Amino acid sequence: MESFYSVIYFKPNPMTDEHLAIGLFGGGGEGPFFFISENRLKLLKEILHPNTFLAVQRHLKTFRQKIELYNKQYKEPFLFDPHYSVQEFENLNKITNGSIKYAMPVIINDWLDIGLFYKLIQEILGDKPKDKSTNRKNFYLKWRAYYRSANCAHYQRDLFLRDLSKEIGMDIRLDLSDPARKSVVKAMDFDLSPKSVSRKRYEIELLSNVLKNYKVTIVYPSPLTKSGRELLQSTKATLKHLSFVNFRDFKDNP
Amino acid sequence: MKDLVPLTISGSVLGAPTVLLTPDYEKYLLYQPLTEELILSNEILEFLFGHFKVSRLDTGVFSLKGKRYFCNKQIAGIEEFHPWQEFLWDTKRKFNAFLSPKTLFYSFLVDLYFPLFGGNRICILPGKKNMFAVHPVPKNNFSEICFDPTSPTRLGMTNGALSSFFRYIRKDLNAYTDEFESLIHEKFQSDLKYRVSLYPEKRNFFWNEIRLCFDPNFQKLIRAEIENYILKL
Repeated sequence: MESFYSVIYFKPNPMTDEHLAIGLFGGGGEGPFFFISENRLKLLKEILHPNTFLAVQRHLKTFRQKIELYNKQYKEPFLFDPHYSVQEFENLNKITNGSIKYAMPVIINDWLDIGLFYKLIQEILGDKPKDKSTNRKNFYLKWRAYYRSANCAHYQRDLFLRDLSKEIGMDIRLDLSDPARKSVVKAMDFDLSPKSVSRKRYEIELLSNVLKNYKVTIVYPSPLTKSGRELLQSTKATLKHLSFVNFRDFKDNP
Repeated sequence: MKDLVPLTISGSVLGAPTVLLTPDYEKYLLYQPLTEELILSNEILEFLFGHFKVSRLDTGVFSLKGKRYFCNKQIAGIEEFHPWQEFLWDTKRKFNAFLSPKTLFYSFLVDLYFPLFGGNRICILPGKKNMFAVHPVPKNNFSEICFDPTSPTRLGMTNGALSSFFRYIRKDLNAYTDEFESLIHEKFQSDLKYRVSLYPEKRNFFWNEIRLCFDPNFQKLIRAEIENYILKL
C-alpha cells in the first residue's frame, strides 16, 4: 500500500481562519503512526478555555491510544490497510467540519517506517520526538512488581515494623521481612529529589537503630545522576552496618 | 433567532466566510441571505428541538448592505459528530465522558418522526464532559421542506460505530422512545400549526408536509423500525 501523511490542524478562531498544525498522521508502510506535538498543545493551552482544551486533548489522546492499540493488534504490515488508507483520509478531509481538521493526504514515494516518520515530524512540525525506550520506568513500580512476585515467596511481604516487635509501635512498612532469619529488605532510589531521598534515609536510619539484632538490606537501582551517586556513597559511608545491594544483583540472588 | 449587533465584521483571510463579533464577544458566521422560507424552517426546527429539550446552537439575523443574513453561532473546539470518532467511546470509561447520551438518541428520533429537512447535523460541544447539540443548519441546507420518511439505516444509525454507542444505553432506549412519543400530543400539534399559520404565504405548503408526520400509521411504522433497531443492538 502507498505511504502517505496527513497533517492534523486545529482551528482556534473562525474570525481569522487560523489553522494550527498540532499533529501528524502517517499511514501505509509499517504504519499507521500518529504524533501529537506537545509543544504546540502547550500553545493551545494558553489560548483556549481550560475545558475546551481538555476536550481537544481528550480527542487527540484517545485517537493516539486507538492507533497504538491497532499497531499492537496487527504487527505485520498490510498489503492494503482498509482503516487508514489514502482514500479514507481524502474522504475524512471532506466530511470533517469541526475544529480538528485532517489535511488532504500527501503520498510519500518511500517505505514509511518509524525512522522516516520521525524525520517527517522534524520537517513538518519541528519537534524532536522522544524515543520511548529512553524513558526510565519508575524504580518503585518495578521493585514492587518484583518483590510481590513468586521470586520472593520465601519472604513475608509488606509487614509493618510493629508486626515484628510489639514494643515498637511504628508504622514503617518493610517491603520484605523474614523474622525467622532475622533479616529485613527495603528499597531506596537515590535519583529522586533530595527531599524524598532524605526522608527515605531518615526512615532507614530509624530502622537500623530499632532493629539492632536484624540484618537490614537496602536494595537500590544504579544511580544515573551525579548527585545520586554521591548520595549513595555518603549513605554507604555513614551507615556501615547495613548491607547495600544493587537491584540487579538482588534479582540474581534474592 | 435574535437580531445581532456587530462589534466587528471580519472578511477572513480567504475572503469567505465572513464572521461577526457581537458586543458580548460571541462569534457568528454569516450563513446565507434570509428568505421567508428560511425563517419559517428555522422556527419549526427551533420549536421542535426546544419541545424535545435537545439543545440547538444559537442563530441570529444581521443586516449587511441592505441584505438580511442568517447567522449561526461559532464555538471554539466544536466537532461534528461522525462515526470516525469511534475512539471517543470505544470503552465504557470513555463513553462516560459524554454527558446525556440520551440527547443523541432524541435528535435521531426527531429526524425519524419529523423527516422534513433530510436529517440534522449533530455537534459535540467541548467541555469537562462532551455534550451534544444540533447544528442550526439541517442536512438539506434549508433548500426545501419535504416529507420524506427515513429509516435508522438511512440516518447511519446501523453503522458499527453508532451501534456501539447506543449499545451502552440499550436497556434505556425503549423507555426513551416511550417518553418521546408521549411528548407528541395534540397541544404540541396545535402549537406547531399556530406557528406555521403566522406566515400566510407559506403556511399551506408547509403544513401539508408537516401534517403527514402526525399520521398514526406513520408513527406506528417508525416505532416498529426503532424497536427492530433496538432488538438488533
